[in-house]
Amino acid sequence: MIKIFDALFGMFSNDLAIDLGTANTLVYLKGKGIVVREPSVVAVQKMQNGQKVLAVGMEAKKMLGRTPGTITAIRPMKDGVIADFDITEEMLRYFIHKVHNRKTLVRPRIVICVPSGITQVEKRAVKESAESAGAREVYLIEEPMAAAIGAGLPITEASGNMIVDIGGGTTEVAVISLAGIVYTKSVRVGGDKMDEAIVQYIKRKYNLLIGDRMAELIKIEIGEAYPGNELLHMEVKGRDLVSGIPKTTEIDSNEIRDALSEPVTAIVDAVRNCLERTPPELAADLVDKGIVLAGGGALLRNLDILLREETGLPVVTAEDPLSCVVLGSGKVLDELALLRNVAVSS
Amino acid sequence: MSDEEVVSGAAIGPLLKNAREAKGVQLEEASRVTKIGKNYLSAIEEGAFEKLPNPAYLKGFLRLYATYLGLSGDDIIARYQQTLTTTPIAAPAAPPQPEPHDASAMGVERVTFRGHRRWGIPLLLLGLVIVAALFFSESEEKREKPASAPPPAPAPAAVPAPKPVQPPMSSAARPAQPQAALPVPAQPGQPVPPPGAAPAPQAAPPTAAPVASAPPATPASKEGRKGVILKLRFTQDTWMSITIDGAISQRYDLKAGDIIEWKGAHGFTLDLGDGGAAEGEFNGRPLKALGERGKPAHVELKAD
Repeated sequence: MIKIFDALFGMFSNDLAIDLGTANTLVYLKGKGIVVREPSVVAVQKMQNGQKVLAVGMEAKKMLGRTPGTITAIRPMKDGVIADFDITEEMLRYFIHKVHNRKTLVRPRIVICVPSGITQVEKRAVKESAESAGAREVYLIEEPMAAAIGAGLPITEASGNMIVDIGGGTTEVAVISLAGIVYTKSVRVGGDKMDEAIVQYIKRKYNLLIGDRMAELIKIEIGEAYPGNELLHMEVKGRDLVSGIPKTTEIDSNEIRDALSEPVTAIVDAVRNCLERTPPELAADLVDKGIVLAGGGALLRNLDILLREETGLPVVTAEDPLSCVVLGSGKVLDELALLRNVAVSS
Repeated sequence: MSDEEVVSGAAIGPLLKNAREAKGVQLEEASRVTKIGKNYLSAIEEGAFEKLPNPAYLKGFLRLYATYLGLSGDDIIARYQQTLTTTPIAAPAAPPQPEPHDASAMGVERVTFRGHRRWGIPLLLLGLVIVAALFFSESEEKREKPASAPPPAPAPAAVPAPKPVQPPMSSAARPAQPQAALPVPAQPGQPVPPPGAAPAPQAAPPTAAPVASAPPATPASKEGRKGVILKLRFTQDTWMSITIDGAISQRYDLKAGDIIEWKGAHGFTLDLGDGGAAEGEFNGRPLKALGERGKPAHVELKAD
C-alpha cells in the first residue's frame, strides 16, 4: 500500500537535491538539472517582534558587510554545518519554494549533502530543517560520495577512488570503493579560511583592512597554491588601519601564495593523512588513477600541481568542480537503488 | 564502441604525441612530471582509450597531459567529446554542460513548463479508471438482464437451427404439448436452442405450462419483438410480487386504481394475492383474468 502511494507521490513530486554549502547553495531539480545556484546568505531585519527575512541568496550577499544596524546579513552555515538553525530553515524554505512552487500538493523528496565529519546532532538539525521547510522525505548523503558520483567516478566498482572536495567551509578527502567510503578525513578548512587568511595577511603586511568579499575576489583573481609561470597583480581597496582612510594597494600572486600557505597546507596534510590510512590494495589503485579534485576550492590556481608534487600521484580536476556535489546528489535521485545504498542512516 | 574510441584516439593521440616530440620530451619525463603512469600515457598517444580507467579519469588525464605539453586542455577535451557524441559514454558527461549559469528565474519558468507534461500520466490514469468503470457497469447491466443480447438472437437462430420445416406450427404446437419441455429441438417456436441463450427462458416453460392462464399469453408474443411489456391495472387493494426474466424480483403492496407497467426481455412470473384484482395487457393485448377472484394466483407470462 505504501509503495503505491510512494509511486503515486513520486509521479507528482518534484524531487530535489540540495548541496547546502557554506558558501553556495545549489539546488538540482530531478529531470531538469541545476535550477538554483546562489550564495548561502540570508539578510534579516530585526523587528520589534522577532525578525523578518529580507533577502536570500544573491541579493543578500550584496548586503553582506554593508548593512545598517537593524539589518544583518547572515551566513547560516559555518564550517560546513548549520550554525543558525532558524535562518537555515528559512533559507531552505525559500529555495524549495522557489523551485517547487507548490504547484503540486505533494511535498518533495529531498536529498541533502552533508560533510562526512558531521555529528548526530548536526545531522538531525539538517534533517529537521528540511522537513519543516516542506520536505516529504529527507535523505542525507555524504559530500565526498556525492562529489565522486558527480565527477563521474566509478564508485560502485571494486577499485579505489580518491576524491578531494574543497568546499567553502570544509575539505573532505575520501577513498571510495564499492559505493562505500573506506576512509574519510574532513577538515574544517576551505574557501572561507583562505579568505580569512588573505584578510589577515594584508592587515599584517599593509595595515590595510579589507572585507571578506574583497578577499574572495583576490583569491579568485590572483590566488595560487603553487608558483605558476606568470606573476599576477591586482589592486586592493580597503581601509588603512593607521590613518583610517580608504586606500588602494597593489599586491601580487606571490604574496597571496604566502598568505594561503596555511590553509593550503592543512588541505595537503589531510590528503596525506588519508593516503597513509588507505589499505594497500586501494592505494595501488590510487597510484594508477590518482586523485580527483572537486568543489570550489579546486579552482584555486595550481592547487592540483601542488598536490601532485606533494603526493606523487596524478591529480585531475573534475569537470565543473563547483557543481560536482549537487550533480552527484541529483544523479542519486534518479537512481533510487543507489540512493538507498549511499544514504547516511541517522 | 571501441571502434569509435580508436577513431577518437587516432585524432587526439597523434596530436599529443606530435606535441610531445616537438617539445623534445621523452615519455618517461612526461610521466615523471605529470605523475600519470607511463602505460597510460602511451595508451593515450596510441588512442587506446579503453585501457584507461574511466571517462572521468580519462578526461582529467587528457587535460593534464595537454596542459603539460602546452596545448589547451579545453580544446583536447572538446575534441574528445566530439568524437564521443555517438557513444553512450558521452551521456554522463553531457548534463553538466547545458546549464552552466542557469538563471534561477529561468529555472522556475521551466518548472511551470514542465508541469504540463507532468499531468499527462495522471490524466491517462484517470482516463483508464473511467474506461474501466464504464466497462464494469456495462457488464453489470448485462447480468441484470441478459435480455438485450438473447432476444434478437433467437428469432433468426430458431429458424435455421432446430427444424426449419416446422416453424409455422409453433403457436399451435406449443399449447398442445406444454409438458414436452425436454425435446427442445422439436419445438421450433422455442427460442432456446441457441446455446448463448440465458437460462431464464429454459427454466420458465415447464413451470409456465401447468398454469391455465398461460396459453393466452403465448400467442401474443408470436410477434418476435424485442422484449415484452406488461401493463396492469388493479381494481382492488392487494399485494403482488413479480419476477422479471426470472432474474429480478419485486414485491408491491397495491391499492385499487394503481397502474404499473413493466418491461422485460422474455417474460414475467407473477404472484398475486387476489387473482381477480388485476386486469391489463401483455404486449399490447388484453389479458384474461389472472386468476379467480379472492384467491391467490400464480401466473407466468412468456414472450412467446
